[in-house]
Amino acid sequence: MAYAMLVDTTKCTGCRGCQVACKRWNELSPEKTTLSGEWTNPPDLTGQTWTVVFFKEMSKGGEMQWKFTKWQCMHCEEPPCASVCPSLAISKTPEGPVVIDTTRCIGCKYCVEACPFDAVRFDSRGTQELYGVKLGGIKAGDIESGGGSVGVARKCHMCYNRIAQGRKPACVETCLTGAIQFGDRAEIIQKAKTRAAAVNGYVYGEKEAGGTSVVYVLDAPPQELGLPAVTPKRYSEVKADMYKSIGGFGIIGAIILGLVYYFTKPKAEEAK
Amino acid sequence: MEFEKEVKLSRRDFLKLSGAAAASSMAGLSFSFSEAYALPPPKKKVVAGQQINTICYYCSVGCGIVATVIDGKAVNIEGDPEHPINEGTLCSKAHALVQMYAHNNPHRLIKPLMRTNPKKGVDQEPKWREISWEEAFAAIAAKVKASVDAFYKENPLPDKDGNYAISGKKFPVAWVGSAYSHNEENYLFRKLSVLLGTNNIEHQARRCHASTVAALAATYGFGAMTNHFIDAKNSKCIMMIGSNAAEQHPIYFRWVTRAKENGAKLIVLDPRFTRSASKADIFTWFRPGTDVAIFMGLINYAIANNLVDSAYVKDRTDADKELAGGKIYEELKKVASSYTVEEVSKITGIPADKFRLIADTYCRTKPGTILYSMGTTQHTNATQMIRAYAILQLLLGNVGVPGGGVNAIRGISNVQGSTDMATLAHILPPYRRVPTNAADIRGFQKYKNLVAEKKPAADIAAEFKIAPIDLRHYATWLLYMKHWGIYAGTYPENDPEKGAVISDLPIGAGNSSVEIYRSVKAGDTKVLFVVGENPAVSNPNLPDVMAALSSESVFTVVMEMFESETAHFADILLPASSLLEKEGSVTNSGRWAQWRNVTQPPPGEAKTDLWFVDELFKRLRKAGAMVLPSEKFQKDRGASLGTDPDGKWNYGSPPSAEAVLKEINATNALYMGIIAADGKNLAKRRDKTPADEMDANYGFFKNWGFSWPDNQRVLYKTDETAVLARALGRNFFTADKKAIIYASAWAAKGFGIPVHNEPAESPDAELRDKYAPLIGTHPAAPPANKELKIGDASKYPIVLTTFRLSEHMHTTMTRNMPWLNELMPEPFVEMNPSLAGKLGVKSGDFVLVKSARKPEGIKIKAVVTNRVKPLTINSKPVEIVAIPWHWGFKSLNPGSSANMLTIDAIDAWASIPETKVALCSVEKA
Repeated sequence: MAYAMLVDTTKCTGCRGCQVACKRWNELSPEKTTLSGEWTNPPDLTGQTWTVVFFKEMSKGGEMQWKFTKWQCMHCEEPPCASVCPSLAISKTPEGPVVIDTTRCIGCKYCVEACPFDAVRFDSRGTQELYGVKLGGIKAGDIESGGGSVGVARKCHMCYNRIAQGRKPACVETCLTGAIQFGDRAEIIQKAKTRAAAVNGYVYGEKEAGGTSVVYVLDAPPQELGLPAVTPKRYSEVKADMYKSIGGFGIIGAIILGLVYYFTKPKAEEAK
Repeated sequence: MEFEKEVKLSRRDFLKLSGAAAASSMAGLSFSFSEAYALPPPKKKVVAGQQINTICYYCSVGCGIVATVIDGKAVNIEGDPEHPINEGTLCSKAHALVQMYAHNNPHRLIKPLMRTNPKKGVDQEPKWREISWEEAFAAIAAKVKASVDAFYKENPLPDKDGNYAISGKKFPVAWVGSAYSHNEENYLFRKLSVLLGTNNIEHQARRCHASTVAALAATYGFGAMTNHFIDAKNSKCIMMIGSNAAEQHPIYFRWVTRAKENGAKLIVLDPRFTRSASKADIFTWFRPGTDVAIFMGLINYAIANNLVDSAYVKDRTDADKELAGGKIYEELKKVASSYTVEEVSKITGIPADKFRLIADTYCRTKPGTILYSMGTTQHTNATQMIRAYAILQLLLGNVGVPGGGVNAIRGISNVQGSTDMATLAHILPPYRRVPTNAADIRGFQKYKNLVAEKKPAADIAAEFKIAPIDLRHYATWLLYMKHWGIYAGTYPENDPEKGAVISDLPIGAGNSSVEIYRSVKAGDTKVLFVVGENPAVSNPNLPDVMAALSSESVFTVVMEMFESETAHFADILLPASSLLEKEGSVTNSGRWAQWRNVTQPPPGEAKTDLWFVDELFKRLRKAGAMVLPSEKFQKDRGASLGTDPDGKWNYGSPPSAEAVLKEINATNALYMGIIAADGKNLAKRRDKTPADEMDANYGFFKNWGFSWPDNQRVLYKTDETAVLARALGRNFFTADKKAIIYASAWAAKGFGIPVHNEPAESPDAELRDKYAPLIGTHPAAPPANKELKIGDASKYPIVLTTFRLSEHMHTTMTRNMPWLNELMPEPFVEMNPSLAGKLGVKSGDFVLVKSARKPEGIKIKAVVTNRVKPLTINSKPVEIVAIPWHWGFKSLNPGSSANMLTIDAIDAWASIPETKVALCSVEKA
């Protein structure tokens, strides 16, 4: 069964229960931060912050608006990060989560570069004490938590370990307004479309990167909320296009260009 | 949702999808692409070890949480999916609770400490020395005994009138309890204070909803939230004013969202654009401290546009009663008529069109409910504000109906309960007056004699020329004589007129929250207990509070989990158990009493408040520091009054919360029935089966926990199924069961009907003249408002308001939790770009914010935002700035305290300080 997560930003109150629920379940380190003018904190995803709520003040028709957009790995249907991983450490599970097996990760950062959503982070430090406060929790393997090996790529794994036990991801379970939901991907997309039509809004994630397992309902264009513009093409199509364009260079040329490609962000190339 | 229990974590064959070209491009890089690796199966279990459910620590919503305990150690905390209020969801603060346990947090106090540096002050290190509990008790008992002995030397018994009674205010010991403590603990705090001889007992509730209690009790009968949290889903129009539920009571917003999904309108009025405002259908900014004008304006609008539910008003209120100048309704109409849309706009800064839209939407959409909180309650005229809310709801027929009501959202998880247990200077549990003077005790003796004669209550009431309902005060004192083993009355008993008055109940109200520290500063309070509160951050006018706490004449005992700002001034610092480490009942703001369970024992030598107060009682008795006036009388006169406080203080060893709850069940009228006839503790009930059809329709959950009174879920709903025959909450709790629009007790000073008064510090001279603040020479000004440092608008032209953040809970706990510090690391002042432009300030720059309390100002970072904006007040622009008040000089991330600037003016009817509005100036640092 392929699941997906719905993020209906029109219902989000910015309480950030999801942000701390994620840290709690995955035993992620607190980060030392400073005041953020728009209240977003930490300012972006890191190897120890797998989801973050972006706060944004806007104005529509002279009325003030304050938007809260939860952000994390989009769990692509066809994840470029998995495709480029030389150590085969990244899997797309049949349920939907894209999971990094950090015990296999060699820290090459190809996935960080390849991600069209800029959602994979290189974690150079692992879980740490801050203010002398340690983490609570069951010590799990470092695939499931922020602990264990350092110098690896880390990101949201959609609580694949909870899904396996018949529970929703931690951020979904804690969402008090029901802004984050979880279910069969086809149903989630249907829900998103119905809701987007009701609020005269936008669906994000149905088509981006060929479809993702996280689907948003937005009441403002994605780019206004700071979400990246991503091609609707699947990664395989992106690559097929690329190879078509390089035509008869032959296998050696392909390898060289392939290398060049890996050090370039596809999103930068493909953004519309 | 059902998921497959076992998920095959096979690797997707991306090679097949991406084709040969991709494979070839990988060839040079990958070690192997022959076979995909499988992920190992998950190790981490959602359900492991023991699952212990309890009630969340923080706000008054009362969400259920579940702790996972392995080998006696709590390792995880999740939302309780079975809990009807939160249904498994939680806010950011609750998820960080695992960082409260000492095994995760080395900052928890685990040993009693004694100060060795005799000097006190912010800059004075206490130089703690670890001591034993024995040493701590010895030091405390000696200090209490010395101060009590000195007090009795100056105020000997019998007094000059031959009476054995003491002033509850003059007594040199003060106790500051806590709304974080359980009902049983608060009950014993209050009992202990009475046995000591003091009414100088206060806690957070004074700054929380003291004005709600005064206003709603005076209008409806009970000073509490009328409906409950889940009930918001039944509403069609929700007006939030002085509340920011999305941030301060996040799970309440779950039910507000549910209502919105069902088509309800959300109207938010706030001096700031908040996270609640972001979800509003209609939002307006307004100047803090002008709620009476808004609501008298709404009342005027409802009357003028025939939007009043006349049948309801006639049937259920005093509107038709005659006053000297006509009917009460006419008087209301007359007073309200001066609050025209234009006048309201002039005072509040709400544009006239916006006000009309709000008035029309709210008055026409039913059932409508008003949600409010500290934005309303903390004003010098807060009681009148809430009265105005309550009257509007009566006019619209919105009281006693699901989805309606005046929903006073309290702050702390047990602040409803701690108020019901009267950890307050002016009442005894539950909301019974303290004896006002010796004559009151003589009256009580008369009452006792009539009861002994077995006269019916109606006849007794007739003798006192009061309504039978007003006999409740004497009836409760009688219960305390029996259950506390104390005496109040005359000797001989058959001579209430001339016999000697003996009262173990201290006479007269004690010092309120603000006054306690003034009394400390004046040297009158010699021993101060602070158990679970942090006034060195949360009280207004902190420079004065800190000066008081630094005084060498006071011996301060603080019981805390962390070294708080107040603990920094302590002589003895005792390690407290967290709420995750003790059991007892807590009452949420919707009046649901629920049971907390122990998730693991307290760390080190930390103890529960229950253990501490029980032990302290025994030690003080043994040391002779706690001798009742009746005992002195018995000794002097050789007479027996039958007092036996020791025999009646018997809760087991260690003390059991349930044993105390049994006594509460017998003495506290609101909690009668919490222990069922079969001995079952109903606070422990976890049954979601609806009790009847009404329960099923509206989501009352009458089989979950216990709701006071008589398990009533919506107060004043006449047809809600009654559990006890008396059905206390089914109608207005007034002499004739009608709600009170006209408050005759307050009429002499001009407050029969609410009228607007400017805040203590008003930015507009003209408005200040027209609507005089309740300070100085104003006839309604309380004595405490006569000595204030008032700032003038010429020097301090900017309106300051204070607020809280979703990510922090008040002052101490959350600032010691790294995950929450990450979200909100430091304090700031919010200002509009227009003010920032004038000052040349951008977000992140430091500014100095100054007020009359702190003329040198506090240094704080600026956040430049449109969430606050200048308003047009009386045709002139007024800038408004806002500071969250969580921070202080201790904790993981110290920061400037907003309350350094706030004013310690208090409400004239409820003594709650005006921390929500003051004047300030801002300059670039």
